[in-house]
Amino acid sequence: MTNVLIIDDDPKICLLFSKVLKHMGHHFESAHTVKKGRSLFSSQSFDLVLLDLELPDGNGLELLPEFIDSDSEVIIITGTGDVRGAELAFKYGAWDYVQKPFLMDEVTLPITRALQYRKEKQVAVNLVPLIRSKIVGESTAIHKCLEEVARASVTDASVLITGETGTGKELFARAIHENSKRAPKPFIAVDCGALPETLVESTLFGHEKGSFTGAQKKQNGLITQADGGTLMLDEVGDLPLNVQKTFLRTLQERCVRPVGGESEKPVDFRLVAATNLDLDQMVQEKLFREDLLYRIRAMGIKLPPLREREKDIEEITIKKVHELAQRYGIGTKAISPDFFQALAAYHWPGNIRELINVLEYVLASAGSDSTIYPKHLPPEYRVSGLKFEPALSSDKSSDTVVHLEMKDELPTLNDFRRNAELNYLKELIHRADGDRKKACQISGISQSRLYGLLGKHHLSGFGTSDSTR
Amino acid sequence: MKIILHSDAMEKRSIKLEKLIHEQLPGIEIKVSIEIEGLKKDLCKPLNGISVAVLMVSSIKNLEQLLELKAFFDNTKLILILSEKIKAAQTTGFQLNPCFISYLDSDLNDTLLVIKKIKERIYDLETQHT
Repeated sequence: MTNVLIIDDDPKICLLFSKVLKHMGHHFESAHTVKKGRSLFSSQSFDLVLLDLELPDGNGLELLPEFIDSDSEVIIITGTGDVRGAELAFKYGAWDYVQKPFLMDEVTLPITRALQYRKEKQVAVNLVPLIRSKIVGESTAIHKCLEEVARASVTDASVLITGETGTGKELFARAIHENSKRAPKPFIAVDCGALPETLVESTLFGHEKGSFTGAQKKQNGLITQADGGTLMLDEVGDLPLNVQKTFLRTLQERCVRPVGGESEKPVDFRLVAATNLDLDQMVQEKLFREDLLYRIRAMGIKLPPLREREKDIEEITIKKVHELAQRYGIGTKAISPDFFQALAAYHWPGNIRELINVLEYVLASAGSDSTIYPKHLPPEYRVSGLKFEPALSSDKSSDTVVHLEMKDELPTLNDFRRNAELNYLKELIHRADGDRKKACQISGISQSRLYGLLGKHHLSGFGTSDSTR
Repeated sequence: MKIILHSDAMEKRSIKLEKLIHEQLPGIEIKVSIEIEGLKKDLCKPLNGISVAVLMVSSIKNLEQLLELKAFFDNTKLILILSEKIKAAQTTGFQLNPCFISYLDSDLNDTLLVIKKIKERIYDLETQHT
């Protein structure tokens, strides 16, 4: 039975609530003070707390964090015109508020909704164990995403997964499928970004023989292939506008009509879409249909970039190094702690995909070495981890790198990296005294890479020292 | 960009595709691998630089052999071209997670268009990251 705690110093209010709760079939306890409320809460488990803010021995808000931490829902009871209290309550996670004076009917709905929400929340919590597919990491950010996967898996609602390129959007889509009731049925992933406009429509919806040049035979589309299972539209932002319209119709009607076909065929699929684009922005620019966006974003999961999962880099690296070593038939390698530090210092614009590519390079570069060190990293990844001593900088431009705290605004990480790289190159040319071989030796980078970097920063390089110092 | 082209017993078609790529998408390096073992060997090389794998499959056996190599295609865009006789096996083919499935009786222009799109996309991504 649902258990509700009423904390209010006004006996009439307590009586009113008790009548409502009794009528709704819930058990309840009443307290008139902060002290009594805290004592009751610590002795029993409550699903919902109806909390007055003005109590004889203190403010009800002081109890709020305890209730929220214990996962109980809280409805705040405020006096007439006390909007500030309601604002604060919401800030700390209260479900709703009711303003005095109120009628019985006015409190029934918030109580029903709060308890319904709690019930759904508990169903979601009971989902464990979750099949993680190949998702690696124990950071808070990734755990939040996994919780969302669990929530999405028990429903059939469309999910939009967003995140930078290489963050693992397809893995998360697969995880939703594998944890859903559709798991035994197909999971069909369509990379809209890899399909030219002329092929998207027939690939998705299929086509009849002779419906266009090259349609030599009747062909089922991927939507039909996904019948009963999950259809993943990767890079959904790349879907051409005319196809968006047809696809929206398919979603609404749950029927698919092949290109050149006259009849529709019913189809049952769950949609998981993914993109690294800002679809809201695209809607404003009329590049993406607003009605389709609402349809595909019944639930949303935003994946964090790797740079915000620093804690996970180590685990992903260990796992991937092991996997790659097995794949390439080489022995398992030890990894030095400073290698992890070097990885953590990089900003990973290509995220996990980029990390895997780098690890592949590292394994090749390590050869028969039994331990992986930072020296096995590609040079540009080592440069990013360098820390410059103030003594190195002698001109004004390098101050922006070293004395960040002196600036009013922190530069973007990209600007910071660019400056660091520029200053390194300037210092390198100076120390190498114009000798490119020596520069390659000091920096550990190849001549072509060195010239590439010099070109990137518009430095003329060796033999013309004027431009570099 | 580098492509690996695998074709079991469909030499003529793979030669045609190779020729079309050379003619219409110059600058793409193509590695042809007829035998499954050769394909595995190529994929097992670290830093193989393969961005796209075009797999022309004419038998269920070959499809199953390719499924065993699934992990090797992790970071590779995969195009599957099935022969008419195993068209019904496309559901199995989806387990390879291809970005495009075509059929051997097509004129291969569709495959060419997909490769072109992937090439443009890879270029865009590289530009973004530098």
